[in-house]
Parts: sequence; C-alpha cells; structure tokens
Amino acid sequence: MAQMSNQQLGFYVDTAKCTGCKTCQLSCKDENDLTPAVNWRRVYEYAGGSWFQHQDGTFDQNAFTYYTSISCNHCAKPACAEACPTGAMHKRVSDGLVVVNGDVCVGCRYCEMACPYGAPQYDAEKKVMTKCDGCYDRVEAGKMPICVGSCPMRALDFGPIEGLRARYGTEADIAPLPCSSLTGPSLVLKANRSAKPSGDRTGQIINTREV
Amino acid sequence: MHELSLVVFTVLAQSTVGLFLVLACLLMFNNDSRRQHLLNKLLLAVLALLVLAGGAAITHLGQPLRAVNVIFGLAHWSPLSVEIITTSLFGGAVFVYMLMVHFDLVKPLQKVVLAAAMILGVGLLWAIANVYTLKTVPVWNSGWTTFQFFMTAFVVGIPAAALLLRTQAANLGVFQKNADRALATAGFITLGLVLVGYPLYLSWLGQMNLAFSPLGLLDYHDGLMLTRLGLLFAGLGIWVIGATRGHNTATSLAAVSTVMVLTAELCGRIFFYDLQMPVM
Repeated sequence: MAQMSNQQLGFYVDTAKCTGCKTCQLSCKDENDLTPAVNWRRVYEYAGGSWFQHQDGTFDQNAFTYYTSISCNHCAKPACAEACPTGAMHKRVSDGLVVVNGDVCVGCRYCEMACPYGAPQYDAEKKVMTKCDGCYDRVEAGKMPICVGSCPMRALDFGPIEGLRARYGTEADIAPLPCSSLTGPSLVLKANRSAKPSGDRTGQIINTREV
Repeated sequence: MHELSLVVFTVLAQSTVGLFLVLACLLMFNNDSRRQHLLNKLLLAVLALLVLAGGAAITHLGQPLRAVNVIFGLAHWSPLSVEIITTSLFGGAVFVYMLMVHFDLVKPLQKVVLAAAMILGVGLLWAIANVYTLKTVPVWNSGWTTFQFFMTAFVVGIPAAALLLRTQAANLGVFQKNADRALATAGFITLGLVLVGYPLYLSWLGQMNLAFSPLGLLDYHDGLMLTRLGLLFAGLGIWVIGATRGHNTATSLAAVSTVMVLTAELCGRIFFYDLQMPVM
C-alpha cells in the first residue's frame, strides 16, 4: 500500500462490479462492534425502468438495478463538520479523514441533517454520533479498511484520492448520490452500464428500510 | 413525526420572540412609570416560555450534560452554535431589562437595553432559520423556511400578547383597549400573509425536482396541513373579529385563539421536520 500520510484519503467504488452482497457493511459492523441500527457503510440499491413500445407494436422493457456502496466520503467541504456545534466532528489534518470525537459530541444530530450521504450515524446506546473513520488505525498499520479488504468482488479500493483519480478517473456524480459539487466528496465511482447521473429521477432507492 | 423536541423548541422560541417584540414596542413608546412596571411583569411570561423552549431543546441532546460544548462551534460559525448563543443572549437581555425596570436602575439606559433585546430577538428568528437553510437539504434551503419561521413569531406572538394585556385590562384601562385594537389590525394582516404564503410554499414544494414527492410522504400529512390552515384561520379569525367589534377584554377568547394558533404552528413544524426524513 502506498504511503498515505499527509494526503487526502478516499474511497473508490466500482458500481459495475458490486453485486449488492453487503459483505462490506457487515465486516464494518463486525470490526467496529456496531448495532443493527448503526450503519457506517450502506449499500443503496437504485432501480427503475419501464415498458416501451417498438415501431412494430411489440413491447420491451429497460428495467435496471445497480448498487452504490457508500460509507463516508471524507469530503473536501464536509457539511457535517461545518454544521457541528461542538467541533467534535472534524477533518483530520494528517489524512483528511472526517471523524467524530465521541468525548466532545453532544448528540444533537445536526451533522446527520446536514450530510447528504447519511454518513453520520447516531448510536442510541452511546448517545453520540458515530461514523466511518476510514479504519485509520488499520491504515496506520499498513492495512486496508476492513470493508475494502472484505469485498468479494474487489469492487472497493482506498488510498490517497489523487492516486485513485489518476488510476480510476474522476467520476463521482452517479445517482442516487447527490451532485459532488455540494461537499466535494473524496470518492471515485466507476459507472455501472445502467448508471444514471446524479439528480436522475427515472429510478429510486428501493431498499430504503435497509439504509 | 420525529424531532418533536425541536418542533417544540423552534415554535416556542419564535412565538416568544413575537410576544416579546409586541410588549417591547409598547414599552418603547410608553412614558408612564406605573404602566412600565406592569408591562415589565408581563415579560416574566417571555422568560418562562424561553426557559420552557430551552428545556425542550435540551431533551433533544444525547448528552445534555455536555451542552456547554456548543460554544466551541462558534470558532467556525456553526449555525447551531450561533442559534443557541443568540437564544441565551436574547434571554439575558430580557432578564437584564426586567431587573433594571424592577429596581429602577439606570433609567437612561433602560430603552437601550430594550432595543438591544429587540434586535437580539429578530436576530434569533434569523439564527433559527439559518440552522435549517442547509444547501444539502433542498426542501429546507429556501426563503420559505425563513418566511415560515418569522411568521410563527407574528402568528402566535400577536394573539399571545393580546391575551397577556387582556389579563391586565382593569389596570391598563383605555391603553389596553387601544393596544388590543392595534394588535387585531396587525393580526388581520398576519392572517392574510400566512393564508397566502403557506399555500404558495406548498405549491413551491410540490414543484421541486426531488427523488421523493414531499407532499405524499406520510399519510397523516394531508390532515396535518388542513388542520394547520383551519386552526390558523379560525384561531386568528375569532380574536380579530371580536376585537374589531369592540370585545377587547374577553380573556378566554384570546386564550382560545392563542392555543389554536400555537397548535397550528406545531402542526406546520411537524410537517417541516418530516420533510427531511428521506435519504438522498
């Protein structure tokens, strides 16, 4: 793994490879001892499509589904940290990871309102906000975040965002994610063949009770 | 129906500011010392309501004992920190003014402190709206949020002030009757503004390009919006009509009106917070 200090770290998500198996979500829960209600990583199932008529009168359909596995995008302009009234939610200078200091957080959940990705998660037992910390302890030990390492499809990657962009491109505006200009996510996406642009209204998230 | 503590806090805080602004206007143009002391006692209601609102806000926190940490957010102008600090400063200014009047301290400065409290009150209305006009939450990020939050102050504050003044009708005499009529006129204008404004807001909401339909989110929303508009019209209406027909001292009528408009605003705010529920 490349040297990661003093560079903004970020995730790569291949929506063409992802099968929506949610191993990433579960390995994250296991690693971080999260309750069922707390999802540091969420897999959004985006689906749509309809019937249409050919000129010869026959019908066809264009149904589609794809998955976007999202934890925290450790944004360049993190809406959560800008909102936070205590400074508990902050962006680390060393690696740009956005983490929450559970000893300072008052549990007001304003970050939850502000984040367009649903990353800050309220822990009802600890009564403070929690979220993906990029597994910085694992990363400092030279390992990958647990979600990346556990993905059976090798659909996830992690590292300095500039390196990820050089390798995979700069796409970050795929539905159902909001437009990347809002918060500047440290995220690179690979488009599924059915992928729709951010702001698309032809499909919808169909696993709303899971995420 | 979630964030009920925030529903109560925002509606009560805004209503309290409205109530205070009315009483403060009367105090500002009053030169009678006996009347000033009487009106000053009515300000106790402002402080009591503000404490109630603050209490509701505290119950929203997971760690209420750490509430003082919210001052750290001022370092980066967290809208929530600004709101909480403005609430405290507003309450503090009202309290200081009350003490100055009660103990007849530094008379020349009393109106300056009163004016400062009024400015802080308006500032508080703005600060609460500023918490919710988040660019990442399109359903909230508009002037309609600010409009609604300011209107709550007038919708509830005006009849609530009329109610307080009516309880002192015997002591205030013709001053109370004149104030009641003036307030009824202001209430009528407010009624017009909200009954035009809220349907326009709903129409704007219905036309937004979102992943979900904000007007079809929850089954009880239709009833909630209808209840709100009905209570607004009836609540402000019965008091305004009564007052313009010369019934300027009926305390129970003003009390019923105040409860009705307060309920209307709580309904509206429940709807407002519900809108934020969907992810992405």
